Amino acid sequence: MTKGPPGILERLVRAGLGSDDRSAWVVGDLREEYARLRERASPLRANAWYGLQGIRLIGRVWFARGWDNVEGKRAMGRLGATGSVFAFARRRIRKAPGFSAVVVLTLALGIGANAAVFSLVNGVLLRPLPYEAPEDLVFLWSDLTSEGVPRAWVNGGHAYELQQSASSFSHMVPMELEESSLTRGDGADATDVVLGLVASNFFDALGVAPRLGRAFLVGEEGSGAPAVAVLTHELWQSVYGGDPAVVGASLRLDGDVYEVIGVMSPSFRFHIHQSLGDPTPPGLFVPLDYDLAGLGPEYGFWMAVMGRIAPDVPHERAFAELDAIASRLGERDWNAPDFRFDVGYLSEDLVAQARPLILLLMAAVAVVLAIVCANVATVYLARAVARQRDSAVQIAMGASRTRLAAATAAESLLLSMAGAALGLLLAYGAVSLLVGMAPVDLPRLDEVSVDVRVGLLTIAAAALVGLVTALAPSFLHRRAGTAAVLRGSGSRSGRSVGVGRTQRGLVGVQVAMSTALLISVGLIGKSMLRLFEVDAGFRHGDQVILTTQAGGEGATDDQVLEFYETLTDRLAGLPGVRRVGAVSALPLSTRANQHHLDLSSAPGATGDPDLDEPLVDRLVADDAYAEAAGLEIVEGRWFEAGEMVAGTRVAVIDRILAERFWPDGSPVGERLGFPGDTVGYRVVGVVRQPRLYDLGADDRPQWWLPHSADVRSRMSVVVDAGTAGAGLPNQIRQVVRELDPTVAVSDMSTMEGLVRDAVSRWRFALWIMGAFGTAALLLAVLGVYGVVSYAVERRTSELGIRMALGAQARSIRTMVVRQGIALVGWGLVLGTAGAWASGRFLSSLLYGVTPRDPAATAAVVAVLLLSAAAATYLPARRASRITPMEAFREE
Amino acid sequence: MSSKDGLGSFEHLVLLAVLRLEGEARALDVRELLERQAERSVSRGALYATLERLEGKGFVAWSTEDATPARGGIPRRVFHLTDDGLAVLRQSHRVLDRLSEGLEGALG
Repeated sequence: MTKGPPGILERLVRAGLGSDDRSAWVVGDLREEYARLRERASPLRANAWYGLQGIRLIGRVWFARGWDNVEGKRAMGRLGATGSVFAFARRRIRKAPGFSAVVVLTLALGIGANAAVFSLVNGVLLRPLPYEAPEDLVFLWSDLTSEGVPRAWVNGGHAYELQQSASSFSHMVPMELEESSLTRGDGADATDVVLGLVASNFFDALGVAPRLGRAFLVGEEGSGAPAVAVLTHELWQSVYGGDPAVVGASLRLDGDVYEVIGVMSPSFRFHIHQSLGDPTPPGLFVPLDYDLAGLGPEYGFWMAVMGRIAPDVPHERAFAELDAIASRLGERDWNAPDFRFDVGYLSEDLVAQARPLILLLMAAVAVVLAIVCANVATVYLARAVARQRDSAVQIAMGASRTRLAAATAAESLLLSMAGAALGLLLAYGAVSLLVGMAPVDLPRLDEVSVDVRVGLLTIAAAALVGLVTALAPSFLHRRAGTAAVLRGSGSRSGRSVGVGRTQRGLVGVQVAMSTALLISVGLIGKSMLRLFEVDAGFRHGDQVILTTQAGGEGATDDQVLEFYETLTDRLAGLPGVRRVGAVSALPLSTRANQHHLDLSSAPGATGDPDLDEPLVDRLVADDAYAEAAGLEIVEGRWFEAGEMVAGTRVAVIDRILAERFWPDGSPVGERLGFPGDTVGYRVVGVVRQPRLYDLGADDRPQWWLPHSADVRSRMSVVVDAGTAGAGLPNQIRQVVRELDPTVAVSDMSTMEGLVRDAVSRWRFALWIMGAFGTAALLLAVLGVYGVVSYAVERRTSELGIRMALGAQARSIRTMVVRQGIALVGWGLVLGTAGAWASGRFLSSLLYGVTPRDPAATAAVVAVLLLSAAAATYLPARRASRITPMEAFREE
Repeated sequence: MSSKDGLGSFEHLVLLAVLRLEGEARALDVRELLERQAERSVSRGALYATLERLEGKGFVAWSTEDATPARGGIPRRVFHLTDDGLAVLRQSHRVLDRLSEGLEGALG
């Protein structure tokens, strides 16, 4: 028994070809040929062949001169009676290929841009997280608003209590992230990895299981837990080349040996909120290797806690239980029963920071689509006017008005569907461009793609666009009096008033929307310029930066200090290198530790312990860091080489602390320290705060200690080499490898790169909004050109008479240009008002400018006026060359 | 000969193919023969449109052959040349012959 092509395909081909006999023959031939091919080739190939042939045939029948070579008269008859409106629409499209192409291309741009941006919205904001019942997953923070930190980490002891007593939760998972040097068991080169230290129920809470091996067993955590690790698919590929024998193998993390017990599937990703540090997802997971019980608030706040609300428990009840627990803990630990946990759903939390930017893009792209619609509607309108006579003839010969309108709607629907198809293709390309340009802190970028949802939405948008743009000409059909048109009384002047008004309205709307878009672009651009000019407290030049981790867990303080001393010395010996400094937290890295500082005996103290023990960032650096990073010493001095030995009790504070607590004098020589520390640290200098969080604004106060006073094994190194060659990163790697081959070096960047990353959100917004703004401007200018040309053509006789009566060409030109500018005028006013009113959508992207920045507004208005003047110049020149003879011929 | 009766070059090829296949000229076979002998790829749409046009001009006619399961119950059309078709083919060949006479050197 021979098998035919898939039923759905055959039905589609039949439907596409139409129902007459000739089509039936073709369908039969196709079926026979399909059967022959199927005997020789795979069913998949045969099906693909059938689909392709079907599309080609349908395309030919629709758009070329297929076998349906009946033209003209027959079409009219059909439209009057029972024929398909789509058949009529198809013929219209075929007859005006240029017009159709312009419409399809314009729509494709608008729809494609929308599909691309919607893919971003879909991937980042809408698509559910890849876990079981992700809506039940929450992150918990400590609400320390009274300390100025509404979302602080959770204390370890608190995490333990939550695990023990939160009965509304099926899982409570404390975790922390660490950066670590990974070396394979066979001693291959070290790799810098992000490590997730998690409670043993982590994978169970997410509802995911490893693809190879096993996950952690219940209770496989705490001190004495086995040293086991679960790798992500990505790390398995990059470090082990996908070798399945990895399960059971051993690896070293900062020198300690772990056994690999599992590998996750490629689709697994753990998305971490940005407040968990680096947005890079962990490459591997190991169990928490210490006991949380008893680690009270005196140990600080350092854990992220993820919870899964138990099935069937109403979320409000779960949150109420958390409040009760928090209240009990607050009471117990610092006599504050109003202590609370801040709770956020995993999905919302993840994108909280990216949401405003993405919604702004969506709004902008919707505006572009609206402009495209207005533009296409103008084009349809102009053609409807030109075709008014034809329509009138058709109506007179019996075509119903409704059917004529339906045919117009069908035509615009077909064109917008073609636009959607082309637009989706464009979107495929645009999405990878968007993702490539997207700011570093945008989460879930790897999930952004053009999927079914995007496709469906695009088709829906195209259908809507088709109907909207069809409305304008349909409206005209309703108004045109058949008899008047046929008599010819509507040929030039009278009947066009309504059309002209609609057209001018549409163009005005386009100008208004372009103005609003361009003003946003101007504001974002100006903000970005301001940000680049900002003095963030450090020199963002071409200093190379890298981060390393000295020794393993067992390394002593002396060994760590010696490692960094030797490393910086050797790096300083590289050709061209001027200075090398080390620091615990690079500018804009958000990595400092926070704690309280006792300033109650400083002159500026208020007597209120809440104010006199401010929460500060603690940073640790060596003696060369200030120069290498270009810090500005306001008073006193930086650390000296001699102070880089254990036991030195000196500190540098930032200007914020100095101004607040020593408003009239100098802090240099004074002592300060942790609450309860009676010895304290002697202040040797005051520095301008190199910004850690936000390029544009100071954050928490900072104080600095020499590396010897607070030894960290993980430090960042700044290599200031002036105009060193491109080989420097390799030389640096070589030096590290010679010093200790088990130490991993992070990806290298430059201080300049830190700033670039920090403004990546603005750059991204500027590029995209700039592209949209330019497209909008072009469309609006085309619109202005169209309307003014139309007006000039309509007034040929009037202008001719003016010329005959002695009007100067120059005055005619001025008149026409002035008209064009008047057309733009109200659009400008409306657009400016719109941009000013919607300024708050932009607020997250504005820096150093207000939404009503006069310079940006003025610049945009000038650009639009100039463009409008340019758009009217050609029709104005034509108008000024009209001769009286031409005018009379027109009549 | 009026323009309605003129023979395009592709029509010419199709007529020759139908003649050559005598009695076996189904659309599929015509296409295969053309692709093989004329060394050109033939689009289905163009072939069907041409066959329709030739039928309209009265140069070809068709009869049906029994349906086979492979065709999903749709009978096949077998094309053959009409007398007019044969005449127009002969005439254009005479023209070709006369015009080609003495050009063997160039045409090979």
